[in-house]
This record gives sequence, structure tokens and C-alpha cells, in this order.
Amino acid sequence: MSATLPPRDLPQAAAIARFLQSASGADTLRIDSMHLLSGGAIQQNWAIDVDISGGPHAGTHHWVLRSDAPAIVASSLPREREFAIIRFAHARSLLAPRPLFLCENTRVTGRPFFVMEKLPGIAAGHKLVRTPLDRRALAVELAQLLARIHAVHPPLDELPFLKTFLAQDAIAAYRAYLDTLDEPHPVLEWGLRWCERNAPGQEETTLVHRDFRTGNYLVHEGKLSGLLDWEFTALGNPLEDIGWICARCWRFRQDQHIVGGVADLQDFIPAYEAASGRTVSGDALRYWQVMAHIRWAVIALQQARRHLTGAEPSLELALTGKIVAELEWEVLQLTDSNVQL
Amino acid sequence: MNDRPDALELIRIANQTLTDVVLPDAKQEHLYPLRMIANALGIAARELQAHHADREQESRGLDALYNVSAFTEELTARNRKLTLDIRQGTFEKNPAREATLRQHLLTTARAKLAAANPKALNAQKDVK
Repeated sequence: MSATLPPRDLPQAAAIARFLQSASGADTLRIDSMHLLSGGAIQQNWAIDVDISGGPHAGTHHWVLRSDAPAIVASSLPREREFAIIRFAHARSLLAPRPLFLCENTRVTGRPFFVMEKLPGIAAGHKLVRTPLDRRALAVELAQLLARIHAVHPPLDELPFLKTFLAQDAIAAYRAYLDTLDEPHPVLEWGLRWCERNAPGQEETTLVHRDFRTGNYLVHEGKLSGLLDWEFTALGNPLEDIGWICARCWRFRQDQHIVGGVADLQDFIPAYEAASGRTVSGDALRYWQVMAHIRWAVIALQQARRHLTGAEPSLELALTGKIVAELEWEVLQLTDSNVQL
Repeated sequence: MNDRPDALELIRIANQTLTDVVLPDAKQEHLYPLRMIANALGIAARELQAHHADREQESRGLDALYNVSAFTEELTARNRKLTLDIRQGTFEKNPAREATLRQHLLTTARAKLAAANPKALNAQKDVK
């Protein structure tokens, strides 16, 4: 089996079953099936079906086990922190899955993991963009969910570890990362300089998901049913989330639908403005679209490094490094004021 | 000197064999890694084929930007200086020079994307 492929089964299944039995207070617990879910290039997500006798969780359940990948990306939060965020978000009805158990003991599987309820629906971007949908209704649901996330303001006593990433913080962080690389990236530098010159004067600071995009939310029977992957959550400019979901790189080739390849700006932006009370100008949208492509390029470079350093040899990670060319091209398009997008 | 087929010719025939012989009868579970392998071989072939021309073009672009010719410094070192100059806003005082910079970046980015993902290049609008 190639090193690029995930294992077909977790060799630690028996240890996981013992942990879950203890954590759930079960008399007996049986894992009926276990398979790796697609997506999650940074973390690994396993769907596990369990059958429990005794205790508060007696019955059959569909759960998801989320574990660190062998080599992690620096900006990604450790599992115990993501677990805390999901608990926070679930308690505030932000469509996060119900968190169940956290295992910080690395003797169980070798890495920290947590278990949450499996939400129904399709997440996979390439499938979702080709699914017949009421695009207008989905645009409104996405906008309203984002507005609810962005209604959360600091300080957040439950999440003291959250970092703040306003525009200048992001620029400094991406430059610092580029400085660690052997090869220079003039186009990304151009984009960062453009972001610096066009940075917003004043920024509001709210909770931001920072990975709110097609591929990370679930749609079930035509309705938004969940929001996954809270590992990049931080405090920051709410418009960063808007730029992220409107970036070309998350449209899965369905460029006619600017919002994540599934919905249209004329439905999404007014719905967000109405729900949030904010105004999203065309310039602000473009600004955060530029930042989105730079950020994804930096993450793609980090992903490629996981392979290049030998920490996690993987063709998929290696090819992620080749996505940078497309992102740089888009940065050049977006920073040309003569180009209508 | 190595005998032919050379590296590019080998990669091309390997990719063609993969696409024509292996992929049509591949197991479902192998389709994704096989397509990744074909993609990687395609990128490698395009990069190899364009390598010399792209480097020469990039070098000429830097010559125009810095108004020097026959510059012997290594391309990576020149690009490192370029990134520093961009960060410090060196070109912004002179609109003509900034336009030259932008054109240089477009040219090199287009060449890079033509190797990495030619479909994306064709799908997106070009900026002259």
C-alpha cells in the first residue's frame, strides 16, 4: 500500500472501544463498523458505528472520531482546543456537532482524538456543487449561520486560547512563514503588500470560523445541517469568513456560483447584511478574497512541507504544493483593479 | 550522457501507459491514487519541457525590472531580492516600474500555472 493512502482500518480499534466503553459509562460497547471519511487533509475523521448496552448512551450510535494527522499544520489547533470550541459552538446552536468524549491520552491510539455525533448530510464539495439545491435558500442559511457566529464577541472566558487574527496579524503571520522557506514567492509577497496597502483602517473583532467553506458544512434534504472543522477558529475580522467562502478556490469549478460554488452573491450578501447589521462593500469582499487565496496558498505550502520534510510522505500532500500556482494566479487577477470579477 | 529515451520521454510514456493500460481496468479503490500519479507525471513532464525556456523568460523579466543584463546571479537569489523589494515597496515610487513588476509576475505565474494546471489557466480570464 502506498504511503499516500490512509490506513483501511485503525489498528487501535480495540483500544478505542475500551476507551469509549469507559468514557460512555457503558456495560458493553461494540464497534460495528469503522471507515475513514473523505476530506480532512489535516485531520483524520473516522465514521464509527457503535452498539452500547448499559449506561446513559445505551443504544446504537453513529459517531465520528477526529484525530490528528501524523504531521500537523502549525495554525491548526490541538484536538483538546477544537473540542472546547465545538462544545462552545454546539451550546450556542452554531450547527456544530454534539461533542461527546475527548481522549488526550496518547497511549490509546498514539495521538489525541475526540468523538462527536455524526450529523446527517453531504459535505463533500465536488458532490455538493452538483447536487440540485434551492440556491437562494442555502445562501440565506449560510449567511444567517455566519451572522450568528459573528455575533459572538470577545472576551470569551471559555476559550482563552483563541488567537486574534486581524488583517495586519494575518499579513505578519504569512510573511513570517514565507521567511522560513528556502524558495521565495514573489507573487504571494505582491499579494501581501497589496493587502498591507489596502488594509482596513478599523476592524471589528468577533469569533471567526476561518474555514467556513463548501466541503466543511453539511446539507441534508436541501437544508444546512451542520458546520464541521473548527480547528482554525479564532478571533478576527468577520469579513474574513465572507471572503473565504467566496474565494474561487472553494467553488469546485462551479465559478458561476461565487459563494462556494453553490450560491450567488446577490442572495448571500444581502442576507448576511440583514442578519448581521454589517455592510459588505465590493472592495471589502475583494480584499478578503485576496487574503483567502494567500492564506490557502500558505496552508498549501505547509501541507507540501509535511511531505517534503519526510514527516509524512504523501503524493496527495506533494500535489497540494502544486495548487499554489493557481492561487497565485488568482491573487494577480484579484489585485488588478481593471479586472471585473 | 544518458541514452534516450530521456527523462521527459520516459515520463510521457509511463503516463501514457498508466492512462491507456492501467486506469481503464483499475479497481475503484485505486482510481484516486492512480489519477494522482497521472497528474503528478503530467506536471513533471510539463515542468521539464518548459524548464529552460521558463527560466530564461524569468531571468529576462528580472533583467527588465532591475535594468541589468547578463546578470549571473542565481535565479533563487534574484527572486529573494525581488520579494524583499516588493515587501519594502521599492517599486511603488515609480508607476512604470511597478507596471513592469506586475507584468513580470503575470508572465512567471502564467508559466507556472501552465505546468501545474493548464486547465485552470484556460478556465480563467487572462490579464494582458
